[in-house]
Amino acid sequence: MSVTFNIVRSRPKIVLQLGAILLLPWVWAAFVMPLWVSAVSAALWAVAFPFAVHLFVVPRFRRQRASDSSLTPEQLMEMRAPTTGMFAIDPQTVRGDLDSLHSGLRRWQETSSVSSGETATARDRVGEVISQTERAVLALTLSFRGITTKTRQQMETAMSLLKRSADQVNISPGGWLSLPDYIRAYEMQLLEVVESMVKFSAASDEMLHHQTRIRDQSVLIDELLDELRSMATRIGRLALDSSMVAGESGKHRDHLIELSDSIRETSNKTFDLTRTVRKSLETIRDELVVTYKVINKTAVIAKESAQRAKADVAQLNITMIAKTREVEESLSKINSLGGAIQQDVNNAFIAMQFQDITQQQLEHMRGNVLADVVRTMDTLSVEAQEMLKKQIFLDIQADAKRLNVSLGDRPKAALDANGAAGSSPSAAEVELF
Amino acid sequence: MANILAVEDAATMRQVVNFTLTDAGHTVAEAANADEALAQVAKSEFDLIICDVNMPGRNGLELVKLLRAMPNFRFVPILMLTTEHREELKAEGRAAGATGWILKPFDPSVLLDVVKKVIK
Repeated sequence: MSVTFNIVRSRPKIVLQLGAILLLPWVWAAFVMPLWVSAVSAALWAVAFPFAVHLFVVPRFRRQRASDSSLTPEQLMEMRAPTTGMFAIDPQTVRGDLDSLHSGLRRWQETSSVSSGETATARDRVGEVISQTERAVLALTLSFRGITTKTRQQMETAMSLLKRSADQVNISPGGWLSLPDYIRAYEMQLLEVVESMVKFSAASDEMLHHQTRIRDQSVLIDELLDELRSMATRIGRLALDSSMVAGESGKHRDHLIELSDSIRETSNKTFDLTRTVRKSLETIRDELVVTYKVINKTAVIAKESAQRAKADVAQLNITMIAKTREVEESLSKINSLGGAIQQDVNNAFIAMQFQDITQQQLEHMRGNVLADVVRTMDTLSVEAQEMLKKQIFLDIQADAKRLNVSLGDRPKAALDANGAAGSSPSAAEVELF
Repeated sequence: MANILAVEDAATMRQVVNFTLTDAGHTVAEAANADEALAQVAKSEFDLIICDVNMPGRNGLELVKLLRAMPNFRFVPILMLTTEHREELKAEGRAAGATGWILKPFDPSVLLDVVKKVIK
């Protein structure tokens, strides 16, 4: 009756509904029957109602209440009491169900055991994957670092080659010049050459001027020499006249002869000297003519060279401006390339960090989830094993076999015997399952 | 340029932090856990500490508390570098004495900006 009371207490709504259903058809009787008849009917209803609950409601809730942890063992035992006689039990079905349950439990135990081992292996493998992934990403990071470092060095070298200015350059003999330095040095050299040619041309002009003056002077000297020769001729005549006068004079004859000889000798010497100077002057004049022609020719060549050099420098300046523009464009491209490389490096660094995030998730899975799975699988395996070991299965199987054997001649008796057994475990397990 | 200690259990992340800061001209020392970090700070002085939160052994927040208890590191900026984005954990970090909270994955340029700000 305690079970009935418990159900009435825990499910009052159902009990009230049942009471109302039973009472409702008889409510009208209270108005037509005498009072004592109504009182007797009410008393009978009060007695019959608990029996009705016990007979119809309690069996419906026994299965649900079996999992109630608040029930005492005695209550459970009472709930597991056989209901044979009320429900028809097919022993064949019971035995088949038990066999399938038994084999299911065995498979469960085996599967749980295998799954537990496999999960443990998976846990170890996940750890190995984490370790290997970390090593791989670390190696990748280091390689990437090497590549980016070398790329940057290359870029910096190229940039310094293009950007370096002449005053910053300390070039050793045979050393490399940057492109702008080279252009600048080449331009300076060309300017120096042009300047030298212009100077040479100016010097040639000056030499020609001096030579003209020398020619003028040589003409003057030539005229002077002509004058000296005429003077020598006149001195010679004077000496001849003197000798004739001396021959006629007598008294100072010797002195006059000596004087006239001296004058003649001097005249001869002057004449010879004049001829020698003239020859020398003629030689100099010839040489001057040759020199003049050479210098004139050289001056013309120098002028032409200077003009060509000037034109070359002008052309070079134009080319250099174009080249400088190209260099500027190249510098701009290199700069933008450097920026793009830096962005790629940043992106790669960000991507590498996902390995760490993944690793943390895997560590969490390995440490918590997989460990829980292993633990659960082990628990399931042990529980299944324990259930398999329970003698109750053997008893149930034996009972089922016995029922099956005796069912042919006296099925009802067997069922009644089971009912008479009261709290037999096999009957309770059949009820439960 | 600053002397920085990077405390991070993942070697890859340590390398990434190291490369990012070294490229910017900083000097970086590494520690794989809180104990290594404490050993490092015992023998060297640092201008900045970058620390992960989830680490084996003592976690990053415990390390921050220990560092703040040291006279030399009371005012040294400490940045937390972590995947954790829960507000309560951030509040815990703030209460422990962390200077900043950077979420992974981080952009190297962002890290450098933050480092520049906190070192000033």
